[in-house]
Amino acid sequence: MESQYNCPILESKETTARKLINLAINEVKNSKKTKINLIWLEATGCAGNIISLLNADNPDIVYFLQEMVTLTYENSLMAAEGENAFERFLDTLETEFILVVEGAVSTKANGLYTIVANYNGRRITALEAVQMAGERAKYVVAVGTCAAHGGHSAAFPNPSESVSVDKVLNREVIKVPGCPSHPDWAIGTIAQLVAFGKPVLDDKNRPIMFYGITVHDRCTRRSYFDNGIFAEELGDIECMFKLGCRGPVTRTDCPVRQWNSYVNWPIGDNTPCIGCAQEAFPDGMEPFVRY
Amino acid sequence: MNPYNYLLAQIHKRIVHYKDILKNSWDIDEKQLYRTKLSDEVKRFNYWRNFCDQNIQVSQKQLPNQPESRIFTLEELKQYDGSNGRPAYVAINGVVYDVSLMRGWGGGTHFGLYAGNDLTDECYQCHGDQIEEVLNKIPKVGLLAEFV
Repeated sequence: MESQYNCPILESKETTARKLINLAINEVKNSKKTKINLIWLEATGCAGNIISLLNADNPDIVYFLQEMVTLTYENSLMAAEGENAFERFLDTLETEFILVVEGAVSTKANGLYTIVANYNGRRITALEAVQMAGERAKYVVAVGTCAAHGGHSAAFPNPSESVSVDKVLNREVIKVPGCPSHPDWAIGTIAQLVAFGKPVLDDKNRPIMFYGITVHDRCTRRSYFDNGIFAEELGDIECMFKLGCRGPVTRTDCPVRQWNSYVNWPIGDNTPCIGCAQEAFPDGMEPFVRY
Repeated sequence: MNPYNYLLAQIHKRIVHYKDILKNSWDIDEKQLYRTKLSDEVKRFNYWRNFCDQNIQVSQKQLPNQPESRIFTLEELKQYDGSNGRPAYVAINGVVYDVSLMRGWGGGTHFGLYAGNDLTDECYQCHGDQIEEVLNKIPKVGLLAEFV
């Protein structure tokens, strides 16, 4: 609308919407850059947990890497090599980051049984790396039974004197056990940390949302147990308690969530639970099958 | 001696028989029939076992040193290690407990310990604080000869 007055408000009305849209786009772009960093440190373990993470389905690993966190250091997935790779680790220590440790921490000979990097002519042990990062991380998550409770790495006779992560750090460590840990449990815990903060933990520092019930509570063969009908050998359809099933003492949601994109789980596949997410695994959960 | 043993043995024989039929049967109707019969027998078994458990508990309260209680020697106890369908018995403080259906005792083993043994020391080491609560929940089946 033409007028003889050059009212600045009228003029600006034609450009205000455009300015607001640009502001919004910039905000969105900037907020994406404040994704928290994540270091995934493989210590004295088998790397089973990072493999399991790659199996994630809902959400999948691509969503995890693009939308949830900025993974700055993971020795199996990163493109950088050698000293450059360890420099990324050191750079991340200066920022805000979540530390995820899988595998126990060997302590014999000052941790010399596990070397994670060679830097400036010096060997960096897993013990040193965990302690370096652990004291500066916003959250520390121990993924897998080895990191959470010692697991296989600490099984008798434990020649490397491996211990769980919380024994070498002087702070709270969130434990996400499992052998390996289900990708949903790891990603779910990290999602909770990123979006809302620390999840509710039980007395062993495991998130209740995944470890609040035992396998026995939701087992598909529970009515056999309740009525005292037991399998006598592997392959029978009844309850496998007398064959050594560790469902009653293991806290996870395997019967409900199931594995490998939610298709099956041990008891559904006719083999007893071996209690892989339990604190005493594997020594205390043996023998896995008893005839 | 437990007067209901004979009754329970009869029911158990029928349960085994029905399970056998179910395993070998290919007829849907027959399977359904025997499934119902099996569940009835199991319920009957559980009922009588609860009944006689309560009765034994009552008489234990009245007579703390009842002479009818079964006496086990350590060699006898070794038979009851939970393998091959045998019950799992454990001796703690001279009392023999039946841990066959206790949740932590899958396959007759418990955190590296095997049934059929005297596990007094290990039990106190781990459960020391709540030993009373823990032991009260386990059914008793007799006494250890070496302590009587």
